[in-house]
Amino acid sequence: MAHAVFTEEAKADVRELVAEDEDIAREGLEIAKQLENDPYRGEPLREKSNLKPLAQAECRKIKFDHPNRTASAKPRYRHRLVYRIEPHEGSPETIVIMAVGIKPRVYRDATVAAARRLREQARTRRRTLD
Amino acid sequence: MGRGARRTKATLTLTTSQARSILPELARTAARRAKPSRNLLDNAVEIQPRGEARSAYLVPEVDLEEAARRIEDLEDELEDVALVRLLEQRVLADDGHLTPVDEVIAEFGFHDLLGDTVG
Repeated sequence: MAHAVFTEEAKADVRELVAEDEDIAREGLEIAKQLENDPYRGEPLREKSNLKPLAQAECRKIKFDHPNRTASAKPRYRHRLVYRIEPHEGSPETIVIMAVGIKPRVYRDATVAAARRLREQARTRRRTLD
Repeated sequence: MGRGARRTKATLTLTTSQARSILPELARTAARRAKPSRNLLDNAVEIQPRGEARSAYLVPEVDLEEAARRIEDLEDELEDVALVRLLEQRVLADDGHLTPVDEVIAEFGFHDLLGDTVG
């Protein structure tokens, strides 16, 4: 059996989720626990093109939502649990849970941080040129 | 719905009167298409009401389904790109500290998820 562990950031995600909706947090934690027996349950991050940079990240995601959410609701699953199998996909000893969150938050966090970094880089370049 | 030059207009444009007279045939032809076309407009028929700046389209169901599937794929792919960016940022800031799932479950008070292992 593999052992599931949370990074500090993923734990902070759970804390936020608990504050928002305990049932959804419970669902996420239950899935995390089940991964110890079923490490390949998540779908690999992927892309349709022939280039496979996302696959190289060797991470998987599971879509989930409130257990009582209707099957016809749009979107069906609003939350994501993202994890990585370590030491590698073929040998599931540890399941490292890296993120547990709402889809829009994932976009926001990723893009806000990337935009900030670009701005900082540009500022540094300007200072160097001055 | 593959790659290549994108069609922006339907191959057939009809007035509403023309469309009305052959509507059963148009609908039957569209409904009988079994294989999606490369482009949403390849087998679409444009119906142009008189005096209107914009028109309406009659599109085979199979092409609509393919378009919806493609949008879903793209959304999923976009999400995965964003996830990888997020994970990359998290890895850079990671202090290496990991907490076992059982401890996280217990910390947030969901003891029942642990079965008999924790009271």
